[in-house]
Order: sequence, then structure tokens, then C-alpha cells
Amino acid sequence: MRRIITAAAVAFVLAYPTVHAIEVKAQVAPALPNSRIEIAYVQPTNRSYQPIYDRLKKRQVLEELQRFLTPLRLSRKLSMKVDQCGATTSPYKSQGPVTICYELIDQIEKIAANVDASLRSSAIAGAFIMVVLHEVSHAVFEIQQVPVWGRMEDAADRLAALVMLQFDEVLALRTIFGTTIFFNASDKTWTGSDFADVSSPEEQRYYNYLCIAYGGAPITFQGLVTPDQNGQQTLPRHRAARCASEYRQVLKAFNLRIMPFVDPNSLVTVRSMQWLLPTDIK
Amino acid sequence: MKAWKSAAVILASLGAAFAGSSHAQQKQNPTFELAMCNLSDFQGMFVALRHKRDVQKWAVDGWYAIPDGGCTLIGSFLRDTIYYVAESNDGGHWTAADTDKTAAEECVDPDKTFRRASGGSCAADQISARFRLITVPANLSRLTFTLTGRK
Amino acid sequence: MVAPDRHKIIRAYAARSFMKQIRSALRLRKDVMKLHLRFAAFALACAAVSDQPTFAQTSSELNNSLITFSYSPPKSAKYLPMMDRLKSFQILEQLSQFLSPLRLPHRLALEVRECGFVNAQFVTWPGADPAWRIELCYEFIQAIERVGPKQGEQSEFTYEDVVVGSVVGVLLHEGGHAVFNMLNVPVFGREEDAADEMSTFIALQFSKDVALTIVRGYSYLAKKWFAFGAPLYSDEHGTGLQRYYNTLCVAYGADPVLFKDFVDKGDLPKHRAANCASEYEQIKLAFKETVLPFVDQNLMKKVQAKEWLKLTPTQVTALRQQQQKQQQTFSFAACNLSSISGVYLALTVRDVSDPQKWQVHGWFPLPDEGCNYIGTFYGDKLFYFAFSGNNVWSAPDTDRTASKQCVDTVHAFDEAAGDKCKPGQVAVNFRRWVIGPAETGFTLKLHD
Repeated sequence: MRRIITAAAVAFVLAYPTVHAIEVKAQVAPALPNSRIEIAYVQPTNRSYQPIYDRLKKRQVLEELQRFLTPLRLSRKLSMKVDQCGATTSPYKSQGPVTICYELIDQIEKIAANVDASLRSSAIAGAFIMVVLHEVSHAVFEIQQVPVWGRMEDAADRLAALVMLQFDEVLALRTIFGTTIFFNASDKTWTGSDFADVSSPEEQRYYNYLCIAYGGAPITFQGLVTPDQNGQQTLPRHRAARCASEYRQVLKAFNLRIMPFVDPNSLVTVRSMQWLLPTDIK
Repeated sequence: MKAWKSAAVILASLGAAFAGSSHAQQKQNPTFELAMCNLSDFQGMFVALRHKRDVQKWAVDGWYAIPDGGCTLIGSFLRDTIYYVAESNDGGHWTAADTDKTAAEECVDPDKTFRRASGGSCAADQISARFRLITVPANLSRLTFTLTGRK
Repeated sequence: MVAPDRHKIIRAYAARSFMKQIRSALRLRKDVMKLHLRFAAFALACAAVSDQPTFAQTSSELNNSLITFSYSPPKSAKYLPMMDRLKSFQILEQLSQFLSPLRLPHRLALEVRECGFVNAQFVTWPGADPAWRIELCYEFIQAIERVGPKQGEQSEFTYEDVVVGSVVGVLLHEGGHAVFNMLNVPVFGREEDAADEMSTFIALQFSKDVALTIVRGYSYLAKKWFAFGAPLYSDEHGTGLQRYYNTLCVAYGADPVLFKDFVDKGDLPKHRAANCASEYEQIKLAFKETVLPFVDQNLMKKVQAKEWLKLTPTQVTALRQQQQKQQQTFSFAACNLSSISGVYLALTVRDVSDPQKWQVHGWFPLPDEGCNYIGTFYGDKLFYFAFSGNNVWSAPDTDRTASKQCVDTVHAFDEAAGDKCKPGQVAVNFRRWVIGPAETGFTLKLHD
């Protein structure tokens, strides 16, 4: 896909110099981990993924995710694992588990290698979080039998984007930034029957995330509608005008159909915490 | 890139042959074709015309939709003048100023198609509009008139 | 005729556009009718349209006093016959009956009107009465009539099936937006896809004939019209092909026997087909939980029991007449919007008088900062070349869609395309322009 976006994407992050300067310290999370969520780190058979396995395990990524999802009152157990998949994704199927693939993390890291060193950790963390939230969204939709209008893949993206915006500005910027880097890196050209796929083209997903971001936090993400020297905006005018209502729509859907099984007090605790972005996955 | 002869040379050899698509030049043709274009920032443009029905009588009719950013051929009319007003869905107006002495005032139906003879007082659901004059050059078989304007 | 950015058509076909206040919209519609389906009135209306079957008794019960409709007289005379045609098809009467089982929180207006753009939309206009409106533009109907299979064209569908199916599919899509908005429905995915889903889902709740007509018509529209041109990924709509495959998939998921052909003919790839049953179940669950509670079950049963979309012979004839009228021609104008003056244009086109032959015509002068309406030509494409002094608008050598033709550098000329260059002529690359399937004309704009 076209790369003109990258410069602008980087620009809005650089406008917030605190993003890469923050060295987020480890915090003991007071929230109890969600007992309905089971986690597993599966040893890769391919030795080249062993370092990824080690890093994730050391960083306790899944444990942290368990704590993050504490407010969710699931009606059934949810399994989450990191594993070698034989592909970058292992789509969520009914009855789970949610699988994050070493191949995907490897892909994210390779993409991030092209990113300026000061922004690299944000790129990795952001993309990783996007993938995790997307997959967990699928699981939540299925376990709780949430009514979903629209394409399921887009719904998972929109819910993930919504979640990204419920915390502080820094987390929103880093995750959206990482997301844009990830999609921007795709050089796949979609033609003909490619469009029959249940997933949406990377460039389309890119705009979906940007729109929810701008719609939910127009001040934080005003860089997306700031014209460059050619008068072009990263998020085109015709779409930007709709983003506030797109955000409100997902928020409303969340409040109507997901909030009923979220513990509100636990949610406040989770939102008040400073979540460790995996600053050092590498 | 090859150097092109200056435009003046072509103009000289062209004459008026390609002013429009009619190849046979009829200087005495009593009618001309009118095309109108909307190159303004306004959208949803409609035009009403005051035109000669015959030597002494004038007719007023509307509306003719002009595509956003494009042109349409409206029809053939008697020479050598025609009058227009235009309005757009988003608030654009093209009418003659009060000080324009060449203007013609006519009644129009603002919301639906209409056709009437010139003159007379306006009915209850009509409004009065000042039509702007267009003079059609004698040697032009088709006039393309472009509406412009910024928002 | 209409020659804006192609994608605007697709964008404009957006149900949920909240339009700015416009002068004409504020005027209360004096011709808004309340649909009082008293038996006598309805029977009279039926009698006026010669061979309408009188199912008045069933229909008089499909009454929702919150739904009103109007056929607004067009501003352009050219749409008067279309208004009469739509009235004779009773398109709005039928739509209002069809929507009657919905327990709406407030009034909803259905309107056909001349909009000044090509669209069908659900809008909320605070100044209008009622504010919630499903609007169908005459311009949109015209576009659909044009997009349908041409007379003599090889097609697996009849013209009337495509036109009826796509118009109904579009109206159900707008109805979807109306439902999402009015009933506060939670929508996690993209709303445009959700509206497509609603349309196809509803179609599948009726007879096989109705389902086939709507699914085929709507998917034809997506593939033929919405998929034209380069995809616009930033748009809130999916690409035309995405919408095409979505429609086929939902239908196949609901009834893999009825829609077996989609997979057998390769229209719907197997890797997607495998997922379609669960996609249909997802939509069914969404409808059941978020919309069905607002549906009057008795009225719904009556609506489902009625026969829909059965065209009388007169109606089929009327539609076929419209098909005949669709010319394989387009109108063309060109504007010089550049800072360069004295621009001349040459064209490689097929003249209406001799449609099989490509001709190269030059030169058409373009007024500075103005336009020249050039004429009407045959087919769906032309090739152009323009210049002024050393400024040239042409195609690069790498453009494989370009057409290399000879032009006379000094004089006016009129040659058969493909001829060798005569003395005084030079070969240049004409750039191709293909007109969209719904457009009747286009305007070329030359910029710096």
C-alpha cells in the first residue's frame, strides 16, 4: 500500500515527544487476574522462535493480559496461548482458544526494524496489542453470543480500536501508531476474488482504526486531519467527517451488549492503572 | 518532445470549423445550441431559461439540471440572446443584480418543472427572479456557458 | 452528463448522510400523503392502473400510520415520465406496506424526488416533517436503468429482474440504515456492510423467487457499478467486489441449495463459501436480538404471506422500453482549468453515425478557464490528447491502455484511427478515459 501515510503517521507521534521518552516502569498490578481466562506459553518446535518464546514468558505478557481482562465476566472459560502456528494467524474458532502466533510476532519485529529506533518499541508494542485485542474481541463475541451486525473481522477491529482509546493518550498513540505501521507495511495488492476474503484489505483496516481513533480522541489525533504541503490529510475529509459518529456507534454497541457482563468497579481499577506496554519485547 | 507550431497558426487555419461538433457551418442558422457547465463549488445546480419562442414572444421554462463539475447539452434555441437564472441545492444563486439594466424579470416555480409565457404576475407558489442576459455570437453554432463561483 | 469523481457516486450512496439545511428542504412538503388504506380508496387506486391485481383486502391491513410517502414532482421535465412510471409501479405504497410491521418510535417518510445528485439515502433533516426520511432520487433510478443489461447483450439475467431486484435491494439497504438509527441498534461492524446484510437477510425471508430477484439484482449492481474503477479504501463503504461477495455469501449461507450456482459457477470462491453458513447465523442472531422485538409478528406474517415483486405484462413492457432507450452513447465536454491558455484538444472516438469505426478528430479549442461541450459519441470510452505550445496532456509511453494516433500539428484533421502518419503529422499517445456504467456523459478537466 502507499507509503505517503507513514511520514504523517510518524509525525503525529513525534508531536508527542513524551511517547518514546517515557520509560514505563514495572508496576505490581493490584487487580486479581481473571479466573475465567487460562493461559499457556507453548514451546515452539522451530528453534528460531525460541527467543520470542523466552521474551514473552519473561515479560509475562499473558499474565498481564489476564489481569487486563479481569473486569470481563465471561460465561465460559477462555483459553489464550502463544504458539507456533504454521502461519501468521490462527483464526479464532468456536470454543477457542485465542492464539497469538510466534510467526506474527516475528513479522511485527521485522516490520519494526525499518522504523526509527526511538519509535521501534512503540511500533512493536502497538501492533502486538492490536492483534491481541482483535483476537480477544472475536472470543468475547463468540463466548457471550454478542449480536454483531457488519463483518465479524471489522467488528473485532472496531472493538479493539475502542479499547485502545479507553486509557491514556500515550497508550492510544502508541497502539494506533503501531497499528498503522503494521498495516502500512503490507505490500499486498488486492484484486478480483481476493475481495471475497472475510478479512478486509490492510489499507481499509488502516483507515478503520484511524477513524475510530480520530472519532474518539480528535484532539490527540488532530494530526490525522492536518493538511500537508499538498493540502492532503492522512484521514481524508469525507471520512473524517463521519468518525465521531463511527466512534459513538461502537461505544454504544459496547455499552448495550458488552458492558452488561463487565464489572464496572473492576473496570475503573483497570482503567486507572498504567499498563505496561511491552517496551522490551526484543 | 517535438516543438509545436504556435497556437495562432492553428487558429488561423481552423476558422470557426470546430466550434462545436457541427461540421457544416451555417452562418444564417436561426438557432443555436446551448450547453451549460457547473464548475462552481456549489452542487445540485438547476437552471431556468428565458428564450425566444418566435420573433416577438418569449418563453420561460425550467428546470435544467447541470451535473456537478460537468456539462450538459440543454437544447436548441432561437438566436441571438437568451437569459438564465441558476440556483443550487446548497444555496448558490446566479441572478442578475438589481442594477443590471439588461436583466429580465420573470416568474419561476421554485420547486417543480414549469413552462410559461413571459410576463404576467406571479402565481401564489411562484417567485420572481431576475434573469441574466447571454448574447450569442453570430458565427457560433453552439455556446457552452460555464457557471463558476467559490463557496 | 454527470461526471464527478466516480467514487462520489458510491460515497453518495450512503444512507446515513446528515445533510446540511438546504432551502428547498425546509419547505414543508404539501404533497405528503397519509396512507389511509381504506378498502375503497385502495381499490380505486388499483383500478386506475389497468392490470394491477386487486389484493386490496390483504393490503388494507398492512397499514402503519407512522409511515408516510410522497412522489415529489421533479424540477426537470425529463423525470416526469419516470415519476409516472414509479407511481404506476406503486413503489412507495408497496415499500410502506412492507415496512408496516415495524414498531417505530416516530414517523418515517418515504420519498422519491429529484435530488440534484445520484443517490438513495436515509437522512434525518431536523427542518423536515417528518425528520426521518428514506429518499430515492430519480437520478438514481435513471442510473440503475442505465446499468442494467443492454438490449442484445449476453446476460444471465433479464433487464427487468436486474432493475427490480436492485431497486428493492437498495431500498431495503436504506431501510436497514433507518432501522439502525431509529431503533438504536448496536452495530459493531461497519454500518454500510450491516445495511447490506439487512437487505439480503430480509430478501431471504420471502419466497425463492423474491430472494433470487433481490440477491441477483443487488449483487449485479455491486459488481457492475460499485466495483467500477479503483477501490477507495478510505471510504466507509466496502469496495464493490467486497459487497458483491458479501451478498452472495449471505444468500448461500442461508440456502446453499437455492444458491448452489454461486459456488458451482465459481462466482463465490470455495474458501469463502465454507464460512457462509456461520455468517448467515451471525446475522440471524443479530436480527433476532436487536430488531425482531420491534416487529409486530402478526403484521410480519401477513407481509410474508403476500406475493411481492410479481410484475404484470404491462410493467415488464414498460421496463423493456426503458432498456431500449438506453443508448450506447455518451456526451462529452472538456474544460481547461489550467493556467495555460490556448489549449487544443484532439479525440479518438467512435461517432454515433458510424459506430464501428474509430476516428481521430482535431482540433477542439478549449476556452481559458472554461469548457467546450464537444458532442455525443458511441460506446463507453474515448482517447484524448491536448496541447498548448509545449504543454501537453497525453499518456506516457508506459501506459498500455493508451492509443498512439497521428495528429496534424498545424491544421484541423479528421482521420481514421490507426492510419500511418501523413506528412505534417506526428504520432502521439492519446490517453484513455472509460466512462462509468451508470454515467451518460463525462467532462474532462485539464489541470496544470
